[in-house]
Amino acid sequence: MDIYLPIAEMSVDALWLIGLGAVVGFLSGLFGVGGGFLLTPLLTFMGIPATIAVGTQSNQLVGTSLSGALAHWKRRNIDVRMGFILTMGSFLGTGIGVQLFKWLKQMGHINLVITLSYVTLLSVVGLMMFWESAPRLFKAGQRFRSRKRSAKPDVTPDGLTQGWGASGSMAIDFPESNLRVNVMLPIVLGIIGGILVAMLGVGGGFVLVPAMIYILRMPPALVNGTSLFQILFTTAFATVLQAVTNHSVDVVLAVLMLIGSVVSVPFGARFASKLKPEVARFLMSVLILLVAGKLVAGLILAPEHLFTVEVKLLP
Amino acid sequence: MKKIVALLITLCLITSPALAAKKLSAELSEDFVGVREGFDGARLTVFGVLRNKADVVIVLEGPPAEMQVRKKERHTGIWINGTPRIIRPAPSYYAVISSKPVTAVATTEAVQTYGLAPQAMLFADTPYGSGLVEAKTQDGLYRFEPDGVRVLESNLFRADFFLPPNVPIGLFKAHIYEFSGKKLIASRTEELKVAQIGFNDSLSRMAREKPLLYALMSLLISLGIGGGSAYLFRRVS
Repeated sequence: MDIYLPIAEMSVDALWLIGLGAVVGFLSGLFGVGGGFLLTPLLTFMGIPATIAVGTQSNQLVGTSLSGALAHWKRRNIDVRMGFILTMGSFLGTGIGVQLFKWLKQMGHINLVITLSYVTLLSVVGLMMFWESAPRLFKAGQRFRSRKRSAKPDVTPDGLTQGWGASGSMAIDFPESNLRVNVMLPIVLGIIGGILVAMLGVGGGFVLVPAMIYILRMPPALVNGTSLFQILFTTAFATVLQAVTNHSVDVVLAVLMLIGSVVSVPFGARFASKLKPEVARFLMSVLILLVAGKLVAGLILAPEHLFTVEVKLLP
Repeated sequence: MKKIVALLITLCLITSPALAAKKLSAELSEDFVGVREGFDGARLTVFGVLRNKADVVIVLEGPPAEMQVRKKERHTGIWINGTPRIIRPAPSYYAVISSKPVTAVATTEAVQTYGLAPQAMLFADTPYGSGLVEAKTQDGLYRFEPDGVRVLESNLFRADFFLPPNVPIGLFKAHIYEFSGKKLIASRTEELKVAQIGFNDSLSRMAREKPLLYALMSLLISLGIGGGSAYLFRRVS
């Protein structure tokens, strides 16, 4: 069933796109990640220009992060104040990212930068998951020495966890997270998240979530919800900027993938309880490394076609 | 098909007495191609009548464009796009269809003047120009078919063009050249409009002309799907 994408100006099989959304949605539910970092490379493998894939992804992520954030909202797993401060940073990051994106597009290097960033990101995440899960998988039953945790976090006189710069003048309290930390720290994390959304079309949860736990010292229970809350606003803002600045949001493409993914996320989540977490993480790491490998091959193997052309119709 | 047959008959009637006047009788099957949601390419037929022993070459040319051509170069082991060359104007679509190889039909000068072969396109003598022709041929947007015109009995001819799904939007021109004894004896130009229509047209126009509104609409749609699904699944489970 071919469908014409009005912004990408090409026709693709709609069922393929819904299927792709469904597979990635299932994996998102299964592994508790956004899945954007798989979807963008897979779209480019289908022949969709990387710029359109990235711009459209932010639009699609608005839908997936809303449904995720709603679930966390109901369970009160969101630190709203932290979410808003992260969002302030990420709006700034998105603005920087979209301009950078525009500039690289004009220079003709946007595809290379996207590919290289993905290779780096996927290799790092994939290898970390692989190292962590593979030994557990193959030496099942054997107990692992838990790594020495850092000493208990320091606590302020009024009982709040003392984050970085908690005694400085920029410190701010987050009662929901029971935390006091320099306000610049979440803003900088937000900026990084915003750049990731704008440049790569990923929510950035897989970078922000560990950073919020280990750097911000937020309680892990609030981290996923707060991250999704922030991603919702950031991707919404990125959608607007990408559409206005780069004309790279294809709403038909976004809707098709969204339909596939919203249906399958809950199934993935349900299936997650049946799969041992280390098995799930191992499979995920293999998948991520395969995608990274395919991207690397595209960079180093001699290209089939040496010339690429960008067409601008004359008025 | 009926339409084509009817037009052919009319053409025959019109042309038989008018052969002396050096006019070429030819017609396009459509003058408008609409690109809808399910668009997967379109066929376009050019048909007409030739004089005895004449040959025909048809050039279908898409709207002119500025082409930014980049060549991949190897730097420290990876392939990177080099600095682009601008080629303008260049046709966004270009198809040459003839009844015989063009060199058998026209003189070398005519092939060059009317751009009847890949190497005869204005810019094709530079490396980036031939790279452009190569890339566009890969995309199916430049096509050269030396046996694409079928000459039927009584000098009727018919040529089928395929406009691929990635066809550029805009005004197309079909130049029809009639050659006899390697000399151009008649020519004619017909126009064809390719445009997005319906839902597609509204969307791409909105994205171009009112990007903010388009973005807000896209946002609302994905918020609706995301929120709606969250609501539905909560009710189901």
